[in-house]
Parts: sequence; C-alpha cells; structure tokens
Amino acid sequence: MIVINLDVMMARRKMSLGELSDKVGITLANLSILKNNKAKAIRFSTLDAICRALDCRVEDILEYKED
Amino acid sequence: MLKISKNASLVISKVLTVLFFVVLICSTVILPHFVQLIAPAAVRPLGLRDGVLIMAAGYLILLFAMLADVLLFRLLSLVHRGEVFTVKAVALIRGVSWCAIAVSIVFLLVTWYYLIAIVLSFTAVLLGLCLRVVKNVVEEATAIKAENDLTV
Repeated sequence: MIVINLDVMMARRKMSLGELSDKVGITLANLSILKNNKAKAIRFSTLDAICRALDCRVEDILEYKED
Repeated sequence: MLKISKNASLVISKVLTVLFFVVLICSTVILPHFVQLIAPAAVRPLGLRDGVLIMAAGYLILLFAMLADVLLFRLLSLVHRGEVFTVKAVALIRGVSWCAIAVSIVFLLVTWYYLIAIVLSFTAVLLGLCLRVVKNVVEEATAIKAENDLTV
C-alpha cells in the first residue's frame, strides 16, 4: 500500500496544517484527508504544490509499504 | 414552458407523498366496501373464507404501499439535505423496490379470484425491476462520488 508521510515532512519544516493548506491552496479538510491516509487518489497538481511548499521530493511524502 | 425551481419541485414531491399517504389511510377504511363491491366479479363464488383472504391481501398491499411511501419520504428528505449518493439512499431505493415486488406477489395470489389482478401484478413487478436498476445506477454513482470526494 501507499503511505503518506506528510506529518514527518511537516514536522521537519516546522509547518502547521493551516499554514500548509494556505501555501498549497487546498482546504484544511482535504489536507486532513491526505495526512490521515484516507485519500484514494492525489492529483499531480496537488503533489506538485505540496513538494514546492515543503521544498522536498515526492519520495519524502509518498512511500510504498508491503502489506 | 413552465419551469419549476429545484426546491419547489422537491416540496411538490413531498406534498404528493404525504397526500398519497392520506389516500392510503382512507383506503384502509374503504377497503371492506370495495371488496364487497367487486365480489360479484370474482371468477368463482366467494365464501366467507375467500372474503377474508381477499381482505387480507388488500390490507397487505396497502401496508406495503404505506411502507414504500414512508421510504420515499425519507429519500426525499435525504435529497433535501443533499445526501443523495449515500449508502442510506441506496438502501431506501432497494426497500421501495422490494415493496413493489412484494405487492406484485400478493396481486399474483389474488389472481386466483380475479384474473385481472395479473395486470396489476405485471405492473408492480415492472416497477420493482425499474427501481432495482435505478438502485444499481445510484449505487455506482455513490462509488464514483466517494472516489471523487477522496481525491485531493
């Protein structure tokens, strides 16, 4: 399964959920869905914006784990 | 062309559902007289036991109709709250379709006394079938909506 490690990266950048949602331009509710691994899909544009906001690479956020 | 707003249309549907329920309640009172009225049209002479059976079938049909009406009203309330494509709405539509099929079975049994009941049975089963298809469609739409809602 694909795991989202958004909280790790956010902690490293010392960025709050609200701050990130402002920078990325998606709602707090949607960002929570993403952070809590409840999302079924993620748009490239969202991924792009998150990587830019957190100044990180895609693999810092997304990870494949064998279940 | 007469254009009715979405909200007004919803209110009209609700009012009609309530009116139909009132009609059903009145029907429970009229049913014994109605059965007496159509008694001569039966394909075989009716004894007391036959009369009771026909009455029971009539009340059963009214009961299922009431149940379907209540389910429809609850479905309309869901639409009002904007929760159309949910598991709950699918369950309600499924319930209404089962009611239609149950009514068709009762009418099929009534055919023993009144041949014409086969037409009503046919109509009811067709309605139940249509509703099942609608239920399948809404179920699929629900899955698509969930997928869409959980895309960030």
